[in-house]
Amino acid sequence: MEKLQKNINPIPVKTWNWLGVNTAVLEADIPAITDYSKQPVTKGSEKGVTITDIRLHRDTIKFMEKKMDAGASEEMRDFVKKNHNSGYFIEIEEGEKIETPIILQYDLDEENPTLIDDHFILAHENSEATIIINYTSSCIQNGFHSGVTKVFAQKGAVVHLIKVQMLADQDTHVDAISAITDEKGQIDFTLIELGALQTITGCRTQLVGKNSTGTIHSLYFGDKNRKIDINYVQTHQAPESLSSIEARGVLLDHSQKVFKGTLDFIKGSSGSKGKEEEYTVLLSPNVRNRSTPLMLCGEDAVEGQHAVSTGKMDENKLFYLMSRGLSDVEAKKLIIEADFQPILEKIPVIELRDAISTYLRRRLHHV
Amino acid sequence: MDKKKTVIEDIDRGLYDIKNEDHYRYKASKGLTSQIVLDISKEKNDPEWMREFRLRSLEIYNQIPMPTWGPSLHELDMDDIVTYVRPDTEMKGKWHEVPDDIKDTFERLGIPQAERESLAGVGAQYDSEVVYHSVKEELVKQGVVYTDMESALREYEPMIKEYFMKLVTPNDHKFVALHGAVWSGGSFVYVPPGVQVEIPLQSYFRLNSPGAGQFEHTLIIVDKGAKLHFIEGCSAPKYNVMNLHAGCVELYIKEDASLRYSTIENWSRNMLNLNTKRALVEKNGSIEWVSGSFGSKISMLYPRSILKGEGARAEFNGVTFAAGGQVLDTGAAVIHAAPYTSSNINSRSISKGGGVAVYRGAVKVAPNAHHCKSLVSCESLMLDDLSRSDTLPVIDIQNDEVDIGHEAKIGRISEEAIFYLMSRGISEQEAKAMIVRGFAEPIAKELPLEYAVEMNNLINIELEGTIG
Repeated sequence: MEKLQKNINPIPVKTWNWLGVNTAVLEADIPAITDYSKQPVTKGSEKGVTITDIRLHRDTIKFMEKKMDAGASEEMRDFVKKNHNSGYFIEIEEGEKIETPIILQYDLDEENPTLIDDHFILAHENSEATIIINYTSSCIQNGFHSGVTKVFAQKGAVVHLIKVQMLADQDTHVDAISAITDEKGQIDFTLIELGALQTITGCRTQLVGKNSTGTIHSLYFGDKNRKIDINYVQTHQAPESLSSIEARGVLLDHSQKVFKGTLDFIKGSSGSKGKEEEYTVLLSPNVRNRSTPLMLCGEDAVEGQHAVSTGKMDENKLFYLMSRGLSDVEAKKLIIEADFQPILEKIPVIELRDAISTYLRRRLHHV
Repeated sequence: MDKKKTVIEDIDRGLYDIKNEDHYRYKASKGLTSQIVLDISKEKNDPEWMREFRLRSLEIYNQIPMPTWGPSLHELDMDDIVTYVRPDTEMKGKWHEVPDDIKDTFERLGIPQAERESLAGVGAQYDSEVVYHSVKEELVKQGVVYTDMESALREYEPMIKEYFMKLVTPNDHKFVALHGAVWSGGSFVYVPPGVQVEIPLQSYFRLNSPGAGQFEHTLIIVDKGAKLHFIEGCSAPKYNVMNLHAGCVELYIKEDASLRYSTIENWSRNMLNLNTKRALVEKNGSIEWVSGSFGSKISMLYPRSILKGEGARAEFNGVTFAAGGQVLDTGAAVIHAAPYTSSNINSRSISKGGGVAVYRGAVKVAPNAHHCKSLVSCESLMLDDLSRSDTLPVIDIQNDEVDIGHEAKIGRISEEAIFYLMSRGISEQEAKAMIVRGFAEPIAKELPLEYAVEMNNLINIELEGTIG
């Protein structure tokens, strides 16, 4: 067992230490890493896609990794590289448009309580694919997941990566994504963080190609004593690049959340546009909600904006629904589901969308 | 054809850069040792408790590491800083008694004229000591106290002992600990209950001595139901050695009282400005900060308002103009520590020629501070790709009965706004001019007239093309 990682998920520019947002501290000890023996790939054998063990491609991806930000932290990246017990190199061939989503389903259980996964997605020129990685857990003891996913969208390629985390209440989830887009490349993330006792998750996209695009749509849900630390960074390194971050969340009980979202316009990114929005609904007097929307700008000819809004649920909406006969709890559930719906609709697999809705409804029973 | 860019001229500092010969009655040795602190304490004839306080602050200073965030302070070498310079004069109550060279400096800065025309009282500090102080007779009759800190320490010792560095304690950060050890000069204001001071008081801090530090302490207590507008101005000529400003401002606003605290900060480009300002606001009280940051090489300045009583309010209006070679890391923090409190932060920044403007802010809502509201708005104009503009706000909320919003923007002048104005018959050039001038207007309109004029002189905008 080893202790780890006090300085994970750092924001790109530090601020006052007393606010506690500069980095995250992993509170659980890392358990002994055992094998993960299940086969996670459930779909994705279509023509134009190859999915192979990442260890066979270390040399291929080395030069691409060098260009990438560390994501959560160097320390964590090294830990995953050294200890990973699952990992795939997913390659989409040039010009191929993959219709069926590629799905990796990871499920922690008593025989597989630890997962350290390391993935690399390479979308060659003008290819297109959707990849879904879903983490669930039926662990009775503390499950542990730590993973790194890297994405490289070459010229004109489009990658939609969906990550859904519905781990059990006592589990730990530490996840980092690093991504790079070439000219006219596009990487869209849909990131759903619903479970685990502690979640530390980061996503960094470097828009290195002219006219490239990076978007993040994110949902989080905190209840009980959950702690969530989210760190998204969109770095505009090329002219006329576009980015957006949209996050929505609900906090109740004694849950705590830190949301860090950064738009970074590097010198030379003229004509770029970035937008960030975070909207949090608070449903308990005991929650703690921290937001850190950073905007860093070294280029004059750009447009950046961010907005954060936090508060109680809209009283007018509640009143309206309750005047139509719904109970307080039913009305709140409906409003939350409606708030989440635009992001959930980005998941193209209906069964998964339904599973998330069912999971959320169960968790919302006491709002 | 390349699009022409808006040209914003550098600040003409001619007026501020005039330096006097370095006359002094006493000057501490360079550096920071317990002997130097004891020497300052002896020179100032401190009471015993203040001498001990200084030494304890020095110990804390030596224990606290340099900040691990913010601009680099590697150029600061305390071994090269003189922490105390007593000018070659006593404090005077009439301008004609002030030595000519010092008086001329303040004349050039327009302080005596402002006093005659629009102020109820003036304090003028030169290097480490206040050299001139006056307050209108009618205010004295109403019980208003406006004096220098050294006199206050003698004449109002129990009150000073009760409030001095209780709101900003030496443990807060390294430069406050430094301040606690070597402070000198500054102003003390007490406004009795119910007294409305309708015309402003002003303190002006001028640092003349090269390589010196200025560590003035401002303590203001606005008692129940009272009202005050206090203006602070500061400047220094430019030398080739680094100067340091680590002042401290403590503001106590009692129940139903209100204070407006306006600052135009225009230090020279060899100055490290590491000032600390804090206000404690009780029930239904209000603090209003108006802040213009133009000078210094590096500034780290974030007025903090602690809303301690129910219904307390804070407002911050700040504008920052960072030119080449400057890092102006400024902002505001508000702690909502009671129910039904509200805050409004409005920050504008302009950076050009390699200047770095940073907005660093925090809004913190305590678990008991239900039904509080806060709105933060930051806008930045960056006028070339040599410059930087960063926005680093943090919002920390610990209950659910709140209404908190934050928004920030950076970018070009809106084409729609230009189109709208042109559709109303205004030329394109004038439309652009109006929009750029309007950018700083929300802050400028909050300043007293003479300061608004100074700010307009500082931001001399010559419109030739578009922003961006």
